[in-house]
Amino acid sequence: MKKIIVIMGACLLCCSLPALTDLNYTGLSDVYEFIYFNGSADPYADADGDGLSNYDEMVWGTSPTNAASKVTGLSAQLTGRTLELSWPAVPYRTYELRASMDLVSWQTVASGSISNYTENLAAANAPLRRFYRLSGALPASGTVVPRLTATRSGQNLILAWTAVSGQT
Amino acid sequence: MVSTGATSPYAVPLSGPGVPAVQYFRLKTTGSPASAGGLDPWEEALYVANFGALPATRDSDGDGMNDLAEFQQGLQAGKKDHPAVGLVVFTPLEK
Repeated sequence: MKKIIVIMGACLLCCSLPALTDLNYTGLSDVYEFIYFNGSADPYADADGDGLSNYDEMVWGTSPTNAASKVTGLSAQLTGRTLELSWPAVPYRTYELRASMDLVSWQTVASGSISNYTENLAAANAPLRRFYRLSGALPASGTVVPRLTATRSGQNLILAWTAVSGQT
Repeated sequence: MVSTGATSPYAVPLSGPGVPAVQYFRLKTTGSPASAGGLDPWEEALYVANFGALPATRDSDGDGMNDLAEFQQGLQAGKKDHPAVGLVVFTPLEK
């Protein structure tokens, strides 16, 4: 008999610079700060005490000043031999659902602007147990941290990077 | 600070007067192509959801500069903090 183990939760994974206006260099969007704090705010603080930092709330699209507004994680629904995982998706965010059989090796099973994932547990290759992890992200910025390369040319060191329009 | 506004490729002399034996370089960029013409879409949507109007059409702090311009210039849209504020114009008293 197969056991279905679903660990509900959510974690934040940010691999690229999020697209945001941050001219005061706090890490939070200036627009987000204005709306919720009417000024700059600490991204690592937890203004509403709900366990999520202000930065995490920005990424997940929840309110950093309302403890009732927070990420609730995955919901699991088993219908027959079909498992459906769902979560509250927020516009402009992308999500990545990863799965693991041993909590060590993870593989992406779904990603993008999605809010659910369905798995057929009756499939011949369905694993005996599986753990799921959901991460969310803001749209990646066109601004990537430029890779600096250095080559020597005579008595000069030539530093080069990929220029991005609009950036100096 | 080696250079500001440098463009790639950038040549650094390895010898000559004042050139240190060891140098480390760090590249910092300013400006964002995403925000050069306005806010990022999710920011604009968040703003509209909260205020029911585009940031270019609102002046939250009433300082004469719309919120979009304040965001683009790194000013605080909720505080009268741009240089024009504080200018006091004195007019002669009428007799």
